[in-house]
Amino acid sequence: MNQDSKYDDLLATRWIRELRPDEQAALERLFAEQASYRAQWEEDVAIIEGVDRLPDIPVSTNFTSQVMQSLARRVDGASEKPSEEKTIRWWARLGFVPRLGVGFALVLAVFGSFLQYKQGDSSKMAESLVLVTESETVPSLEELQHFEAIQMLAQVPVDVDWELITATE
Amino acid sequence: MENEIDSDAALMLKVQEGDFVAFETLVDKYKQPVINVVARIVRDTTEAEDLAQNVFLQVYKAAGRYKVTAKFSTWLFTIARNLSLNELRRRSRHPASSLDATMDPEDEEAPSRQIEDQGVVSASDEALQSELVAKIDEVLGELPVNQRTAIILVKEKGLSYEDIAGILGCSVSAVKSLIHRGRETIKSRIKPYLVNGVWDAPVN
Repeated sequence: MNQDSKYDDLLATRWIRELRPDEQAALERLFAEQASYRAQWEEDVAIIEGVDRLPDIPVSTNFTSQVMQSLARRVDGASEKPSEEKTIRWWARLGFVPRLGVGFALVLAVFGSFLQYKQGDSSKMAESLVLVTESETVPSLEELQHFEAIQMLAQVPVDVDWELITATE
Repeated sequence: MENEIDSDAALMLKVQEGDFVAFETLVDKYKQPVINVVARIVRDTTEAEDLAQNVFLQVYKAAGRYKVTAKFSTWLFTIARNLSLNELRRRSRHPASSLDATMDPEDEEAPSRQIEDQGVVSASDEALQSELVAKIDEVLGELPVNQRTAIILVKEKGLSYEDIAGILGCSVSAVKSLIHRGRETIKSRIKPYLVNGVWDAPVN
């Protein structure tokens, strides 16, 4: 191992931690062999110490509680969803034949409901017809003969005869 | 450290069973490192909290996929890095929200700052140190995102090169190379400032 790589190794160790006595002794030997390493070491260590002394970034006093609140919100949000997810999972777990069976049953149920609805509709219509035909309020045939004349009378403009009204009173 | 890993894994096992208290413990323990990493990757302290919240929500959501054999912090920072990169991609598609504008509001004032820097030479060591840290933070923000992320993660004590390689999805030697290149860039930017007190604004 040459001197440069020895130096680099010791410096790499110094970044992580203080040198142990044996490492410190190795460094001193290196300085003795090449004096220029000492000045270089001092510069490098000044930077390492400067980096070590970098100030902490300020943290809010309630940082932890904010994280825990955000987490609680997320957990609550997640627990509201599972019903939908459970349905999907239940369906996915079914085999092909059971799935086909469930699908067929659903189609039958829908068709049955439709038929029942149609049947109910027809019988209601028949009942209404009976009611209309049995009604006694239908005018007689004689009355209907004058229907058009009566309707025409309603369309002729008539002036109010106030004299006649007063006389009759 | 081993016990710590075990305790995180034990908590995650409880989280997998829906234990909110266990999850709360993990959030409380890792909120600061996660926000540090996220904020420095996206270079936006305002958005960092929202992003970090999403990181933890994602952790809960994906808890079922967590394997106890994996180190929890590695898994957590992988999620943090991925969400941060997604955010950067989203912003690059919508450039209206500039990243530099939020993290680096002093850029337009570079000339006045140079005068101020010259005054710092006579200031106390502590003030000089905090100035230096601020400059490092600034240069860190200008590094390519992978170099930046590697350096931010190496700052998080407890992560090994193997862990960082796992988070970045590359080899250990690639991680060392990223850190080396990042460090060289920082050094080249910081050196003139340390020597002359002059700070060059980044070339865009």
